[in-house]
Amino acid sequence: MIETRDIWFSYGDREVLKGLNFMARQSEVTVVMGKNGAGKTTLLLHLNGLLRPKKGEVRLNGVRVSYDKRALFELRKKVALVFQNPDDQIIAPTVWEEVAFGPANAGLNLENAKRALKLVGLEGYEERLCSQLSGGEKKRLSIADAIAMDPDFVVMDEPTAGLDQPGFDSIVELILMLRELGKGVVIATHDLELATKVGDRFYYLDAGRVVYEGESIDYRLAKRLGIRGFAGMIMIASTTDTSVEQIVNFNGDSEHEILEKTLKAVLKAYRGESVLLKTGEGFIEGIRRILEGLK
Amino acid sequence: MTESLESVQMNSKKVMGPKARVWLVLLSLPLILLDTQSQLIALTLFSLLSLHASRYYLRLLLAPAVFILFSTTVILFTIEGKEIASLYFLKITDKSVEVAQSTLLRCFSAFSAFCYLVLTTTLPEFVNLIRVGFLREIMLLSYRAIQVLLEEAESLKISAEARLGFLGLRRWVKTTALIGHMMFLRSFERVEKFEMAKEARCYSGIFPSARSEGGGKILAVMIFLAIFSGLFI
Amino acid sequence: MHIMEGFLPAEWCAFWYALAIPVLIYGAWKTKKEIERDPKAKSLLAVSLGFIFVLSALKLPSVTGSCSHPTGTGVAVVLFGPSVTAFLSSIALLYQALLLAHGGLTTLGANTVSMGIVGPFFGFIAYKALKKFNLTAAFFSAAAVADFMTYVVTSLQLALAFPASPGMEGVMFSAIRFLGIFAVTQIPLAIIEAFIAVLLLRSIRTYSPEVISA
Ligand SMILES: Nc1ncnc2c1ncn2[C@@H]1O[C@H](COP(=O)(O)OP(=O)(O)OP(=O)(O)O)[C@@H](O)[C@H]1O
Ligand SMILES: [Mg+2]
Repeated sequence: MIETRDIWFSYGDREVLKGLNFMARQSEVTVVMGKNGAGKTTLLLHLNGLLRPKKGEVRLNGVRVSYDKRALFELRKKVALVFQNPDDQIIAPTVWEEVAFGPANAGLNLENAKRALKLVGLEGYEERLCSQLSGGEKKRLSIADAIAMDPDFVVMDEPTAGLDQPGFDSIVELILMLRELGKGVVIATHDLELATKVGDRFYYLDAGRVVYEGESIDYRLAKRLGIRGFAGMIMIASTTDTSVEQIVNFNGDSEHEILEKTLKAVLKAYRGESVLLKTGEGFIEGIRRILEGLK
Repeated sequence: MTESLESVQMNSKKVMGPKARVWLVLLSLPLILLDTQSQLIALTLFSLLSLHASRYYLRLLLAPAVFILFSTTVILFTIEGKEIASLYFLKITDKSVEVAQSTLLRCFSAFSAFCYLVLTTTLPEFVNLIRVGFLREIMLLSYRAIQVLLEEAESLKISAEARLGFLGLRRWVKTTALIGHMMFLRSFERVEKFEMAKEARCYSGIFPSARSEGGGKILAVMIFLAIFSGLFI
Repeated sequence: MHIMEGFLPAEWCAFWYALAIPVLIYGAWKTKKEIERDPKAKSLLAVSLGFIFVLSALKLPSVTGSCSHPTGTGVAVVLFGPSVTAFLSSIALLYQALLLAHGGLTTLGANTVSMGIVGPFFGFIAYKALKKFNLTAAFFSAAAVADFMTYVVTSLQLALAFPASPGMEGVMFSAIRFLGIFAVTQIPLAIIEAFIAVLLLRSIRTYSPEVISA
């Protein structure tokens, strides 16, 4: 278990984390969400000891992390970090040098590196130059970097940013596999689809504080916090949220209009656009009327 | 240009392992400088190897064209000896023809060996022969920096090109300086990122070597001996 | 201006290597000292080296087969000083050989002397001399002089290997011919590069003044 207790952090005099409590367990996927600049990346950097809180503490398995060299070494062996931009993380020119970097420095068997490459599907890429990899392959390589450390926790910053559908799917699969292997996975993401697919626990941050913590996603909160990624889903939102534009009015529209608008919404969602279908008490009644109308 | 040569290096047909390749070329070059017969043998063998490696060889051959043209012209018209032809005040002599000939032969022979190395061998494969730890690490890190910086420079260039930033010499100079400055700033960020990336993975002074398969040693030795035998013909 | 692979006879390759190597060993030794003092210097040096290389690659004009030119060493020497520049540009020259097929391995010693050592050294002197009076002029001459001296030394190297007749006179005669013919490409290039260097160094100075103080 890795946790932070009331941590405060500032870059210069800009307060970024304000008394943040966070916890992630092994064999679970913990998702951190929140607006741009909410402090997600800053939090993740604390988990691996790259940043040190100005106040408060980070605990690994209940033991407070002291920031001497040895302790940091141990922490980084247990908690591996995957940067948002693989080009920021990859420091060696070839795939093998890159993936072996962590284990070699941590004094681990290089078999780990081999296994990690296999796990992310980059077996046989050892002698390739990193600059010649595609975006998705680079991403998987940067994850292999982390796995090669054989850590208890893998912390990923926006693992699906900029990936296409197959790329996205492979990351989801990887995350679930890591959970299967008993690793704790922590991800920061704006991607609601990813969050719903893999998340066991959710944190919403806003301006350096946790504003929601729980085992399910609260869509309204997500929307208010500016989380993107309603793509491909029809969201059923409650009528009490007046900020949502009403596209179907089951009380006012004719059957024909309702049917057309609903179909349009479904089509839009099918194409991957974000769609909000607003419904109220009249929903079931409306659907019934549509179905009757179809007969 | 690096971009394409880098991918050529990845995809070319190599015939032998990186170690054999690098040593073969490094040991052959001195012989090529020394002996005419060795030059002929090497020119034949390395041209074949290079052509087999990649068609890109033909483009590499054009790269030093201006240098060769200018330098050989000077040699041809400058070195004194018995005059055999003349053009206004410029004369070609028996000696100058001889020197130009031998220089060109040496040059093309050595260049073919050099090209074989360049076409088949990636920089890390070469660097891995260096045993001095800090030098190796700096070279591998800087190569990685080059990969990233070039990619960024490339997109900046495209972005400038799209907004007509290279139209005319004046603007070309200005835009190039601008991109240079961007590269400078990015370089500084890159230092920070390298440090973080190293630290995040328990950096303790080790930079692992690339795995490179051996192989082709016998072939390399045979080619070397063929070139070596030139000394005795 | 790189001398291509194989163009120099064996004895001259050896001679220029012999001149370059002590300087490089000194540079490597200083670098090592620096790294022991501050381990972060490793990343800094590596990225500086990358920067020097990219700067030179940036300026390669698309004219096919144009002989390429000093490697932004004028800028480098202002930023990093002559001994670090010598060490870094020798590696940059090796990269240009292995990644762009410019220059060569047997001629690496000669090219290092002209482009990594002598050219930037004189560029640095020009920069130092003019710095107090006019910074723009100092930047301009750092690059122009570095380029110009590189071209002079390269011509001399060629002349020494290919003298018109044995003896000093023959060498001088050849040198004038080489200087004359390469002036066609090298002089305009030196001037263009100097303009780029001025703009680049001026904007670097504006945004990060601490870098250009020494
Ligand atoms: N190195 C830094 N120096 C100064 N300020 C920083 C630095 N890194 C981040 N910040 C600031 O700290 C705040 C939190 O940044 P952080 O990167 O943690 O946000 P985030 O939640 O990850 O955002 P995003 O979704 O955009 O990645 C932002 O306001 C940002 O501007
Ligand atoms: Mg972030």
